[in-house]
Amino acid sequence: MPKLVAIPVFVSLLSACSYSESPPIKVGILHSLTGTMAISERALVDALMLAIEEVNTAGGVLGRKLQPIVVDGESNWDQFSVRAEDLITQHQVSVIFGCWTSACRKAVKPVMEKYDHLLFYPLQYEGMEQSPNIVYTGAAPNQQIIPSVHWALENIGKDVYLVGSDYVFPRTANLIIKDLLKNRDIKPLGEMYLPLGSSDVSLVMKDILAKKPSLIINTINGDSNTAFFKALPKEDNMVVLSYSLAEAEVESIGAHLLQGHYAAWNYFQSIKSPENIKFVKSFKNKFGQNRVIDDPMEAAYSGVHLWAQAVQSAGSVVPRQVITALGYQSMKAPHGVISIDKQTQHLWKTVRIGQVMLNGQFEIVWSSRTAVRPAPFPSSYSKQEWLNRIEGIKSP
Amino acid sequence: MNRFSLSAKLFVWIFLCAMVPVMVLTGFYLNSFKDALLQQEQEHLSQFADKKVEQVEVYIEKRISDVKLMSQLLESELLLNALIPLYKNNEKQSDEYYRQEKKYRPFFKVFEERGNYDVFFISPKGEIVFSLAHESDFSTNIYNGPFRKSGLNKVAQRARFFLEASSSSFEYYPPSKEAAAFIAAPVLRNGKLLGVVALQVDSEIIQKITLDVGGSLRSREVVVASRYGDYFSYQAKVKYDKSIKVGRELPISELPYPLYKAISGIRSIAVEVDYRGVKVIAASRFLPSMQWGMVFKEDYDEAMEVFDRLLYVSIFVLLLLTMGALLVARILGGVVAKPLMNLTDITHSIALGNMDLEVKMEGYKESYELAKSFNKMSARLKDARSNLEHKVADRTFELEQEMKLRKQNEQDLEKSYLQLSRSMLHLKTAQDQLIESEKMASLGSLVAGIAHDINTPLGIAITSTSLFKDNVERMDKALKNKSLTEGVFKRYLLELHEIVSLLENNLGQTASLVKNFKQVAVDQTNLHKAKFYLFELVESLLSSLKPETRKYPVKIINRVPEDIVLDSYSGDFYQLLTNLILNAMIHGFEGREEGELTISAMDVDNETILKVKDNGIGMEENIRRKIFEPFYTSKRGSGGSGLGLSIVSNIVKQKLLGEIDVHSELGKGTEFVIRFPQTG
Repeated sequence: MPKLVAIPVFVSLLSACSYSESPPIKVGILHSLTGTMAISERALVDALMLAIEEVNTAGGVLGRKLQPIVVDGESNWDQFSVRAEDLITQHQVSVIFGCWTSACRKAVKPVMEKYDHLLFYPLQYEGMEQSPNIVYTGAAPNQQIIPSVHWALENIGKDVYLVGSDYVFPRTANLIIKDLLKNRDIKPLGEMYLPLGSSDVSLVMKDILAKKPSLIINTINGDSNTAFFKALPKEDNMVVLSYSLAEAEVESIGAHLLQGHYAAWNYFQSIKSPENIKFVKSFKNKFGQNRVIDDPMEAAYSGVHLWAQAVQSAGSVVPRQVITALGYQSMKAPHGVISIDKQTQHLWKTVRIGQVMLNGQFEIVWSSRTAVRPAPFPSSYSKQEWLNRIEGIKSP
Repeated sequence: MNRFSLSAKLFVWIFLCAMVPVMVLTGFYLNSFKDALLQQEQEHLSQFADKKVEQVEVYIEKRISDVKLMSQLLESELLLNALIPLYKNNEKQSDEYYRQEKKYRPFFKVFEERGNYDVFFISPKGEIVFSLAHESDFSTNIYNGPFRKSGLNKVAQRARFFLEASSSSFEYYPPSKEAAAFIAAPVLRNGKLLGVVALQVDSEIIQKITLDVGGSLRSREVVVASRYGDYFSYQAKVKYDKSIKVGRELPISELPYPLYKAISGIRSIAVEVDYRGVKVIAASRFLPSMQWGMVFKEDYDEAMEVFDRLLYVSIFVLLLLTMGALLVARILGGVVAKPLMNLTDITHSIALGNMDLEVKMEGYKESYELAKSFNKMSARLKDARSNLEHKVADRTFELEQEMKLRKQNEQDLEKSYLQLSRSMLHLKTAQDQLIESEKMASLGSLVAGIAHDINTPLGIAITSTSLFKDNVERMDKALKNKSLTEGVFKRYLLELHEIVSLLENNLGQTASLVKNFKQVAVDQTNLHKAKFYLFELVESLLSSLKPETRKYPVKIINRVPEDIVLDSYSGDFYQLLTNLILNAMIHGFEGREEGELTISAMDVDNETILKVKDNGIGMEENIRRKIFEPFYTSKRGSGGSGLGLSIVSNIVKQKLLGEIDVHSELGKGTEFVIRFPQTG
């Protein structure tokens, strides 16, 4: 009965609708692979690669695989701007994940706005910015600085000393911190800034030892931290709360120098959630068991997943449409439930304070439990007032 | 299949060729339609869910804007400055307080109308110094008073310490006797906290938002819930379960899966089971500003109603078509079958012998043609039938003749076969007799040799006897003559001694010869199996053969090891060795002055190898190949029977179950090698 055979053949022909491999979606990765920032930014590239691999393993987005295009910003902001334009015009990427410093972001921002493109920026920063073409996956000041200062004043002490590197993030952070102190009638014992990259901490240390603060709020960035903590006497009971010091820095400075001091972040590698355990395991399996993971890496990693989710919702990779779909996207990230706030394009994030342990990990001593609404412009002043105040500190 | 009627067969074929593809295609399209419908519904619902998230978020953001706006107002600053000094905690407020409060109340009443349940002002110490609603929370301390566990405390503390506006989620708030959410912002002047302004969000408004679901489906519903540790609570009334109270804490295990996903921040659209256990299409979303999980859902059955209807219609149509096919098959079957049935009847009659019937030519073209051909065929059949009978009779006669002839041939064949087997038997007997007579002949020649050997000692014995007789007579005569002296007597006695010893020697020699011969003769005819030493057998044989072998200038050497014991027929060995030895003597050394013949043996792996080797003249290859053939002889004229080596070969192969081989080289000699199993 040949007809009986013909029927299933016919049906299978009908159902085998022409399936063809779709072209991949190009995704730009813009970080410093060379220069002074490379040591920090390379770890972000690894985190991004892991996320891209996960998206691809799960079948890609809109039936297409992601194809990462990695370019080198060379720790040079002008180069970052040129490379960003290359990625958009030459490589035709659908999104860019990149930048570490605020200076880099500020260099790339005009390019993103010119092409109405989309940048995911993964670092905690000083706030006071809100570009329609940037999604900020790191903490705004109210998701790191403000709650942790409150906690430190309640739990450590009220004799506060402010020390930071001399650039926009520490100065803006201290502006916000001083508002909080003022509200409690606290006058900081001192406020000192080190030139970025300087390892001469003698002047600062002399002042600190003279004033004997119980709480040092530290916004020093980069290598200066090593010199600062080496010079800081352990026995004088001065506790440091740092904002630019994560697992990676603890590893390079040495946990024994930092043991007992605090840092505020949204993410610590030691978080015990199933999502984080899986994330840490995947990362270590891919890049080595000795690698540490920190907050910016988690923020970069989550950014890829949020973007992929938005592309799926939008049904398109066109940045404008993806940006529209990004509003109110949420996911279970390693650090907790995160959602994008449509107004500010920042994330709702959980705040945590950790104390350095001798093994280089943080013991989480406080958590905000639920995610905190991002406020890039703290509501103590209006947006315009803030911009004026920032102008003020730039040209003192 | 063969026994089904034409109608049934037609139905099956119509069904297979037309209905099955139609059904498969229908199924395929229905399935595609179902998928497409589900996908469309899911997309639709997703969009609604996104809109709903936006609606709630925008609503909360507006309330935050309200609070932020209030915090910036001069009236807020004035109110706090005026009321905080007048306020008395946990007590009835003074008239002055109420006088002052009245001034600000209408101004803030506006915010109540904008969808806020209540407006509070809280002093930096936590005292609720102003409330529009004046519920039991008024004039208590929110930081440490009876309602310190409420959301109002949380947002007020955040405003106080973080200087930031924030919102709480809906929790049961005793003063309002219902769930309440709060939004608060700090009132700051020159960076200094004057107090906190807070709004109580009208839960009715949230309920209204969640009830506004859009679309035409009756089952569509929005469910919102929030989580605290191991508990969760619904944040708005649910449509189908009146027992569920807003804000009441329930264990997390009772959380339906779509809502669980939503609270965990997972966006999804899927077919799931809701809190009633009903299959629904559910979009899960997270509402960040309330930290709520939201499920926007509709009943799967209702959403897919269109598909169900289409499915029923399709099944009905397919059923109709099947019935149609059945009907068509039946009618068509009847039309086709009628002439066939007529034909069948006629065929039955013909089969019974009635050859004169004809089929009526009627119906459609094919049946008409069929009837015509059938009639033609039945006429031909009738003719053929009468012819056939004659032919059959002729052929039967021929066949019978042929059979007889064959039987005769078979008998002849049997007879000649019988004769043949009889001649075979004669031949076999003749061969046996020949072998036996050959045996006797060799024995005879042995006897001749033995007789010759016995003759000499016997002759001496006879001569000695007559000498003895002579001496005795002479002694007798001397006794009678009285001339027998002692000296004469002693001389006679000495002579007699000599004669007797000569007699003794020669008779002994004769007895020994006879004894040996007897042994050989007995063994040669011995047909029983027994154990014997091969060496001894060869020795006694050589001794017996001596009279014969002596005639040839050949030295015979027995090299058989003395320890080889055989369990076999010794007669056969005598025979085959006799034949080989005599054969070598007669043929192997013609024209030679001297020669050597060696008999040797060895045991190898359960086998015994016996070799008879001479260094005589050898033989040519064409002779060597034929020597085991019976009746082959090179000495036909001089009395050779030509059976000697053939007998040897027979004995080795048939009696000893062994093999015999011969190597020969002209001028150098010949070697016979016999191998046979030891357990012959």
